[in-house]
Amino acid sequence: MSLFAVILWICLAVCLGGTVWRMARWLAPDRSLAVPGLPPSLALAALLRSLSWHKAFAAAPRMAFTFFFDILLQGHLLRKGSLWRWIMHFALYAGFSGLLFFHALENFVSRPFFPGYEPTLDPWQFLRNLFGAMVALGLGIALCRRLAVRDMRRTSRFEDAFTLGLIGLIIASGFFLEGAKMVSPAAFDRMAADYFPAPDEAGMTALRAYWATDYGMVFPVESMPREAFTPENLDAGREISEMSCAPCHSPPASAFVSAPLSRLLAPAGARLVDALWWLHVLACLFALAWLPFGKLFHILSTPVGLMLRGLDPGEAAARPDASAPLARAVGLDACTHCGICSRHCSVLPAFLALRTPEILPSEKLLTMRRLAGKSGKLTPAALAAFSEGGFVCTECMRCTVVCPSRINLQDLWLVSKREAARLGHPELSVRLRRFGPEVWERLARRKRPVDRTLAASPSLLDNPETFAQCVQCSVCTGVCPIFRLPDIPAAEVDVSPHQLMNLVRMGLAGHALSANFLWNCTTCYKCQEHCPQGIRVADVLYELRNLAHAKVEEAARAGLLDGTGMPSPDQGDIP
Amino acid sequence: MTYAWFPGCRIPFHLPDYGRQSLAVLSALGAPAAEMEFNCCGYPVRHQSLFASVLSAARAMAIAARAGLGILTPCKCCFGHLRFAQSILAERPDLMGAVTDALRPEALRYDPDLTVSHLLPLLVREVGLPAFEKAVVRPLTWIRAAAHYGCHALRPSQVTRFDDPLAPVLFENLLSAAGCVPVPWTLRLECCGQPLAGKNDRLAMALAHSKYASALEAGADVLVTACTYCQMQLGSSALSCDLPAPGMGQAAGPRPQPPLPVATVPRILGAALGLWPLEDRLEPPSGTASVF
Repeated sequence: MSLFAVILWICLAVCLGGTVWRMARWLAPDRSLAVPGLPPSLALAALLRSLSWHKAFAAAPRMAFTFFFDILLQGHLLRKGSLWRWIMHFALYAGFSGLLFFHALENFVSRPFFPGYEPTLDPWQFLRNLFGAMVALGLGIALCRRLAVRDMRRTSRFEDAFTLGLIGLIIASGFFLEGAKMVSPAAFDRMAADYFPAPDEAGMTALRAYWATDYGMVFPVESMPREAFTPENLDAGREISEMSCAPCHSPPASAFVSAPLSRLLAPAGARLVDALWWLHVLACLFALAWLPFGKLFHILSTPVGLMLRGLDPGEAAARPDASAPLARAVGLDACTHCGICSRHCSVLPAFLALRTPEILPSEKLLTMRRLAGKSGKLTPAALAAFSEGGFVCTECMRCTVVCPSRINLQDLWLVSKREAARLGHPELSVRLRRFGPEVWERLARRKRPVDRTLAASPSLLDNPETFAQCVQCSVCTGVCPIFRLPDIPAAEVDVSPHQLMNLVRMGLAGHALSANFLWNCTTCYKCQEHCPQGIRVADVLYELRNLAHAKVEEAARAGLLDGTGMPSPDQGDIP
Repeated sequence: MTYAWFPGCRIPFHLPDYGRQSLAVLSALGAPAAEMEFNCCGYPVRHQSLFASVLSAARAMAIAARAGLGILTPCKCCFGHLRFAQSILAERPDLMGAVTDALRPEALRYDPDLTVSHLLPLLVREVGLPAFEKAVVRPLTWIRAAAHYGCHALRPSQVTRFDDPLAPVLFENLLSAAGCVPVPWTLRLECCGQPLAGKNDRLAMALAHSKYASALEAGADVLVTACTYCQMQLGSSALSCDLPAPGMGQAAGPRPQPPLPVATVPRILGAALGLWPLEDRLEPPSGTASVF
């Protein structure tokens, strides 16, 4: 077996094995994607059981439309999308499909189905260049969008650039290989030996002269003296060429990319044929083997996701049925990290202020994919970021509406919040209320957090004038809705609003932050409205909460908090 | 004034009817609002980060300003927070500078003079009660309605300038114009409890139940809200997701039906305008006029 065959079979096996592995995760989704009360492994069975002839007939036209319009014509990119995006992706998709079927699989498609197929004959030679040029056009638009559009630059990661680079390498090496072959005397000699019956020296010279003139072949000067280009030689050469070569060789002009490239390459390019061939083949085989493990897997997962998506994603998210885990697992794999969701995200300004990447849906999904991967274990810091981003989401459903892969993101985010809570990372304010004074005391010794929240210059807490007028009349406590509730534990109202004002006035913010009441305030502003001294009680409470968030986020970034959000035991005293 | 429609984040998924019915009522009254894409007003991140919340509000207002429109929202938390952002940006130049810097890359400019309005003041002050009364085709005279004001529009009154914070009349006047009988009730200006939902569910539910009890005690047939968050908290939760309350561990389960119907204000007003029928629990038992 040749080296090529060995590599080919290995790559095919890796591709097949990886695809089976990933699809198996759809059929037996991770328990983080489960619908409560139903083992996720039963999702497929539930889906199959729910199918009926009646439903299948009813859904058939919609499915057919989805298949032809959304999958074959990529129409899903036009919905809520832009024409450029469709042109970009359709050029990539159509060009790559053409190359795959008619060029890479020529022995299985082109030869059996198109009698007289020769790769160097038109229209195939032209089509190969056309398909390649389409892919190059798509790549160019994709690259420009990723580089020029600010919102897309923000969400572009290494894998996005790597994937574009890999496809670019395949296409570029293909064009250069074809160009190098066009000017390769070695290839000419090999072909001539096979197809030119009874070659004689004069005939060969005539053929060389004709090919050098009309086919752009470049021969070394010693084998192709200038005086060989006589009109008689060219005529004789054309005759031989038409008899022996033309049945399999169209003129190179139709290779509208490779032919100009070949003139650039000549004469050195001819020596690169072997190297270029290996480069092209290895790039293709690497892409094949990598397919199930990277974003290229969307070639399979996105169409499956498109077919699985129901009519009403909001309804599916609000009341997930038994097959939801399956759709969730496919949805996680169907993301192409195109970043459209993050461009339209309602809480984009919160990301601009807080800078936690997981606030943006496209980034949160990557973390969630790791969470749902059976091997994926998230570090405490990653979980904390996942939780922070997840709970900033306002569930506005816009990402679900704009997603070109039509993933039910709304459903995934609801699950992500549940999972974050299950893994000990509920909304930060829920965790903050559990911190006692000793935690705040230790955090207080750290430098004041500066960025992100602008809590560095709290105009109210730092300003003694804020509380100077407080006479502890307790009107704020008197009107507080929490304090009029019957039958609530005394611990919920451990400190009253007027006491809280006094604590802050005395500089005991650490005690104020650990008060349960601070986190039980509903921010109804009755205290502030009724204060006879005009003290901004509720605004102060908000600022205290801001301060608590800022301190803890800063400590978490510094790695001082353990998985539960509590100060790490091994850190001892926080510096 | 022409307005851009600012539904807020919770309407598309949690309360789509509130959005649809508000727009239907507005166009029936000849005051349509332009639909466009906005970001979150910033209210939900306010206790996490003042800057994030004010930047969100400023960006939304800059988007409206770019279109030359004011902002009209059916959510009192959006309304209150946008007004709060306007007030604090006028008060704190450091925050204003940071917001301006953050908006500059998108070529957005915050406009301090932008008009921010809520559905209720728009209907009462701009459409006008006489015009509204004229448009009513089916006065809902049998309905005794408890108007739930919602905190963040009412207070702090110096910032929101919504109505008299201690004795507001705007909501009741509008309900009267629709033919309803507004009932005075003790807790009408109190919090619904939503800000604690998912954070301290026990307190959140206790607050909601105290509101129901007060409205029932006053003899109300329906509790009327004009805020997305209040309606999510007090209304029968149409969305009993499988989610446990965050931080609580156990599944919350389907929420109990409220002891009296809770309707958003456009649902009531639209019925009075003849746009749609009321739900069963609000129709007069005999199908004729008032039974009260």
